[in-house]
This record gives sequence, C-alpha cells and structure tokens, in this order.
Amino acid sequence: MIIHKIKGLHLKGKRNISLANGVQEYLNPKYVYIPLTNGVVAYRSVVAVGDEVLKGQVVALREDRYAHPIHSAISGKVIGIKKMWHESGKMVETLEIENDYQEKVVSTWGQSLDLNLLTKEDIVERVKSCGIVGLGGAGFPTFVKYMVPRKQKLLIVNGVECEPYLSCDSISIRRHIDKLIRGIKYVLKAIGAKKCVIAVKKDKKEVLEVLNKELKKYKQIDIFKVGNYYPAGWERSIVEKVTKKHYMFLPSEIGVIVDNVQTIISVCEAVEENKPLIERMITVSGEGISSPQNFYTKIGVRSRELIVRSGGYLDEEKEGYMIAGGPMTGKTVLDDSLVVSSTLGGIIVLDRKEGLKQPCMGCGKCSLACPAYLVPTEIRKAYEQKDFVALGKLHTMDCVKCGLCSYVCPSRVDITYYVSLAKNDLKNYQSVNNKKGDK
Amino acid sequence: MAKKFVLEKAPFIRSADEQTLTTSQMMKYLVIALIPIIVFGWLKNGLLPYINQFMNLNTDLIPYLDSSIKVSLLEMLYPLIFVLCGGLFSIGLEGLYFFLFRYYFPNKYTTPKKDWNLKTIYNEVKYSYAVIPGLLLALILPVNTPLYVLFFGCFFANIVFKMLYGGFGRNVFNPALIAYAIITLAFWGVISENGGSLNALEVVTGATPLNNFKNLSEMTYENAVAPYGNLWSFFLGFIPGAIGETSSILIILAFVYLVIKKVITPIIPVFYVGTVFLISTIIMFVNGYGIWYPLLQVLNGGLLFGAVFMATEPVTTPRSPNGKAIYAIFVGIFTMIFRLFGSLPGGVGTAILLVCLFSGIIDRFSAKIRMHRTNYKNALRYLLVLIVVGLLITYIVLRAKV
Repeated sequence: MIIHKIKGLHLKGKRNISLANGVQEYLNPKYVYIPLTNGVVAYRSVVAVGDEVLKGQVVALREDRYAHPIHSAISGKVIGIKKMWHESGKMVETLEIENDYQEKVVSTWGQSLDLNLLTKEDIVERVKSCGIVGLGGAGFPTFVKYMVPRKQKLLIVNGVECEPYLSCDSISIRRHIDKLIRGIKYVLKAIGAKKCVIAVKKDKKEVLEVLNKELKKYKQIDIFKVGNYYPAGWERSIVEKVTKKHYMFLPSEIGVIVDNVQTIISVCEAVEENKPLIERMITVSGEGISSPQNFYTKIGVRSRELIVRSGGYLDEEKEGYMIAGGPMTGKTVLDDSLVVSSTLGGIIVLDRKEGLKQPCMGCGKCSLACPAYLVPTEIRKAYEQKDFVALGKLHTMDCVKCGLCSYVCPSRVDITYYVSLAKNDLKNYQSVNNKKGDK
Repeated sequence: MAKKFVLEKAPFIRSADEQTLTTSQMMKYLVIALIPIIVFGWLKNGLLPYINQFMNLNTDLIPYLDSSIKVSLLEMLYPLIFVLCGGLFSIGLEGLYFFLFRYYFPNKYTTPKKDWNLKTIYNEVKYSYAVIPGLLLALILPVNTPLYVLFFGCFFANIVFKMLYGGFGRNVFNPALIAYAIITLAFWGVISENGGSLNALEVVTGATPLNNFKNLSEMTYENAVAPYGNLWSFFLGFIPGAIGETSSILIILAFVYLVIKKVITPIIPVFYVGTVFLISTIIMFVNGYGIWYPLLQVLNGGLLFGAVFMATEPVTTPRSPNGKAIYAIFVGIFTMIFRLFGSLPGGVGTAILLVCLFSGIIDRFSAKIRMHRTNYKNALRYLLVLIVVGLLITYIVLRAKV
C-alpha cells in the first residue's frame, strides 16, 4: 500500500548552457588512467608496469561476487601506477597508460553475436565480458540485473537525467537513437520482457521530438513523460510512476528492469561489435567554464584535458569547486586531475559560495522536501547519540542521498552529509551484527 | 597558475543561495508580518481613545469607546512605546550577554578581546534574532503592564530561556511564552492594579471577553458576545485585550503572508484552529448554543495569534509534517481543557507550553511512522493516536455538557 507518492522539487535545470555548444569527440588522449576501484571495491590489476596493452584488452578484474573485467581504453604501454582523484572524492590508484596512437585492437573486437539466434545466456555472457556497468551513476554491473531467473515484464530505459547542468543522456539519445533501439531489442531478449518504456522528462522537447519520430514503427516501445522535478530519475520514483507499484529492494521483484540510456547503447555495441566499455558521454559544464559542452571520450581521461578543450576556466583567480558528478550529489576534488570513470556523468566547475551557516532551527523544511519521506533532523539526532536501533526504525536505509534536505535548508546545515554518515554507520553496524548472528 | 579548488559537501546549489530563503530573511518576514498588528494595537489602544475625547466616534462596531476618558499624548503613544521597548530590552539584554560572555570574559574558543567592536556584537545579536521574543512578549502582555515588568519578562525570555539554554535554535520552551507564564504568575497583581486610563478599554468593560466568558452565569449570545458589539467586532479586533491578539483579520492576513513567503507551514495553525473549532462545534450541538459559540472560541483570547505566531515557533515544535499535525491537535485539545475547566482565563499559552514539552517524543514517534509505504503496524500507530484524541474529545464534551 502506498500512502505517500514519491515527490520532488523543481530545480533550475541549466541543461541548456551545455546543450548549446554541442558535442565534441575526444578519443585520442596522450595518457589514460584506468581506476583500479569503483570507489568501494578494489580491482586486481592483471598487467605489469612496462607491458604493452591493446585497445580493449583486459587490464584489471573485479573479483567479488559481481566479478567482471576492466579494459584498456587505448593501445599503448603501461607506464606506472599513479594516484589520481576519483569521482568517489578520494585519490585512488590508477593504471597509467601511454598512448602509442597505433589503435591496435584485441582480436575479439568486432565479433558480432549471431543476431538471429540470440539467446539470453549469450547476451549476459557478452555483457559480462565487456564489463558493462550501469552508466547512470550507481555502477551496478548490468549482467547481474539480466541474470534474474524469472521472466521480467517490463524494461524501463532511464533517460530522465534530473540533476541540473547534466545533459549527457539527452545528447546520447539524440546521437545514438538507432543503437538505443537495437539495444532495447537485445535487452528485451535477455530479460524475456515484451514491453519497453523510455522515461524522459517532459520539458526535454528536443529529445521527445527525436524519440517520437524514430519510435513510430516500434509498437513495443513507449515513451513515458515524467514531471520536471528532482529526483525524477531516481529508480524507485520512475518505477512507481510507470507501474503504480512499489518494491522493497530491487525493481525485479515486480518484474521491472531499469537501465540507463547509455548502458543500453553500450549493450548494443557489446552485442554487435564486442566493444568493451571504454567510452562514454560526459558533460563538462558549470558557471566556471568558458564554453560548457558534452564530450564523447575515453574512460580514464583527465578532466584537465576536457576543460582545456572546452575553453578553459572563466576566471583563473577565483576559488571554485571541481565537482565530480552532478551538483546535487557529486563530490568535490582538490585539483583538475580528476579521472573520467565509467560512472561519471559530469564534471561541473562552480565558483565558491560562502553563505552564512547557522544552527538548525527546526523549521522542518527538510522533512517536507524528502522524497523518501524521512525526517533528517531525527536521523541526525539519533546518529549523534549513536542509537542504531532508532536509526533502523527511522528507515535510514531508505535515504538516497539526493541532497534535497541540504538544498532546502535555510540555515545551510549539511544535513545530507549527516544522514549519509548515519547510513554508512548503520550499514556497518548491521553487517557486523549479521555476522555475529551467523556464528 | 592553475585554478584553486576547495572541498565542500554536496549539494553545491542551495535554495539559500537566493537571499529570499535564508533563516535571517525568514525572521525579517516574521517581523514584517507583525508590523500591521502592532499598528492596529496602537490604533485601538492609543489613537482611537485619543481622538475620541475630541469628537465622538461611538459606533456600533466599537462600543467600548467612552469620551469621558482623558488620554494624554504620551498615553496615546504608549502602546507603540511598549512594543518598541519590548524589542529594545531584548536587543539590549542579549547584546550585553554577548559582550560579557563572548568578549569581556573571553576564553580561548571565542574571538580575542582585541578583535571585538560594536559591529561584531551587532552581528551576534542580529544572527541570534534577539528582537523576536521581546516583540512577541510585548504583544501578548496586557498593555497596562508596567515597563519594569516587561523588562523582567525580556530578561527571562532572552537570557534565561534562550541564551542560557545555548542560544538560537537550542531553547526548549518558546521564550516569549514561558516569560509570559512567569509574568502572569508573579506579577498578575501588579498588572491588574496598574490599570487606569492607559488601557481605556478595560475601564469601560471591566474584563476582557475571555475573563467575562469564564465567569458567565449563563452561556448566551447576550452575555458572551453582545457586551462587545457583535462577532464582527471580534473579527476586526475592536475588543479589549492585549495589543497583538485582538484583530483576527490582521492575524489571518499575516498567516497568509507567512505561508506565501514559506516562513511557516500551514499545518500547525490549520490543525490547531480546526481542532478547537471541531470540539466547540460538538459542544455547541450538545448544549444547543448558536453558531456564535465555536466562532467566539476561535476568534477570542489570542487563539489565532497563538496558532500563527506562537505554536509555529520552529525550534520547540516537531519537525516532521505529521508530527506537526499531531502536536497541533493536542495543543487544540489542551487549549479547550484549560479554557473550559482551568482556573485561569487563558488556555492558549499554557497548552502550547505543555505540548512543547512532548515535542521531542512526538517527533521521534512521527518520524518512525512517516515513510513512503505503510504497513499494518503503522496503521495501528495512527489508530492509537486517533483513539487517544477521540477519548480526550469525548471527555471534554461530556464534562462541558450542561
């Protein structure tokens, strides 16, 4: 039973400042830096310093229960392991690869699956070997989603992109509409669903135009327009809006698979060309950038090179924020050697803002704004008392760290930060207690 | 040289970036909303009696004016001076507090002694919003209160119940209300002895409507409403009473203004007034009164002022929307209990103070039952609240039956 419908707030979109300057391809960087972690799980490197690698060659392996390979984005030579800024807000180890501009590819590149005799197992295996993860931001390995034993009813393609400034998904839909449609066919085959819905914000007129034109002849693909609010792109929000049902943990419980637009496009490339996940669309935007635009670039490029190619900074003197990801959920890093990782959707440069911070006065705007119907002030209180039982009862795990509570706070309290700390602590506490229970 | 970057926590765009949605701006809106009420209080308690001695203004709407009362120029301005003094006392006391404990006796955690000046103290007082408790206190005290009593009230409000509790955002009680409660307990005799021509109205009618209401031998329209004109007098505010709490129409306009400016949420005022209206409507049907009875309960005795300016005080009320609703319903119930069966005439302040004590518990309870989807356990908890509310209302109605 749903008593509260998921809601959100209208934010100023600011997509147009990056859409206006179009899209640029940047596929031959001198160096790439392949992160050896996704921020949580460390990958094991399988090449040594000094090795020659080919484009698309496996250079690292993720080895937990979601095991999948990581590939080199260029052909060249591994020249070292270097610490670089990562989108998780930390410095992580990366494989530094120097480009030899030979574009030598691995032998498996270009092997298409037999498109007439596609089976579920083939597609899942191909998606796994190409290392495709969710490109919307969570980075959940895509093949795990497709491995669900039950047949699914519906595929939802998430093209909502609710964060301000970001426009890489809109650009991807317009550039790769044919690949998107073919990718949807393969994914439908893989999950055994009959219907597909593409969810797009209703104010993205240019995207809707393209979709309407191209989708005329495909009866099984529908367009679903979602309202112009944040967080409309939240998985739970889309599933609830489209199906009018709710789920506990994963949307596959009610027969729904949600995938990002760019993920579907990569799946299409993987199935047809055996192309691993080495390229993605990324938005470089913000008030601190001369000409904000989108880049189709290699994973492992440093943000400095992209910013130079989009005209550099507007004001070198001013202090600013270099934000990895969107302005609502991203993390700041300390210099512009931020590495483009597979889940990084945007690089935003904003000027530093110094507002007056005051104590919480308890106006309750945060709990009014919360799309998950939490009460952030109570969670903070329970977190400061380290009361984990209360934290569990306050549904802390439902938090999606969307940032709306900090956004609406008139006193500029970093309430999202406290809630995410509480969520992490509660997660640790629960895992420790579960282990105790096992013994 | 490369651009310099700093670390910060997400989100990087805030609604507080626009100046309209910051805490200080919200407090400014609150003071702006009080200005018409202050002006009306001056008009009613000072200007109209002053003009009335020269020309006879007596109309049906304002029956309390009597041209035999002499009002001097100072007494004409007294309501304004009274409210102004409330604000100034608060600012002065809090400025003194900051001067003494942040600068004059500094420790290693505060600003060094050599760094302070008037500007820093001004900023401390400004961002502690010192003026608001004093203003609200002056608005709910009877206008013939001596100034030294008001000063005591401001001391209790700003120093004892605000700064000693940790300053802005950490007080347990609404400072203005707790100071009001202390003053009514300690100085009620002083206030009532200090009558005289300053409060022209109370000389004429002898008692405020709520006092009158309390001591009625028989509850009829003629006894309860007619001595003060009609219900329109209550609605417009031409009745005896404190400066802030008489004019219902201005308070409703202030409420609309504050809701539009997003300073308060309408939940607490609506549920509070709604509960009072509901209970008194039931009593009306049980006892066979006219429709004037619930309207009088709502328009009388500072209920609307309490609902809009006192019960919505953010620090001491629950944070979550459903908690606010539960809080407001209980404030409404206790207001009715104190009004009908209590020994003092007013019930609003006492009820708000009483339920404020429980706002922490209400907050935790309502945060647990507030979630995206519900289950039978949550439904049972809501049901529990409804049963308690229903029982209390039944009790009130049964006891109020004549």
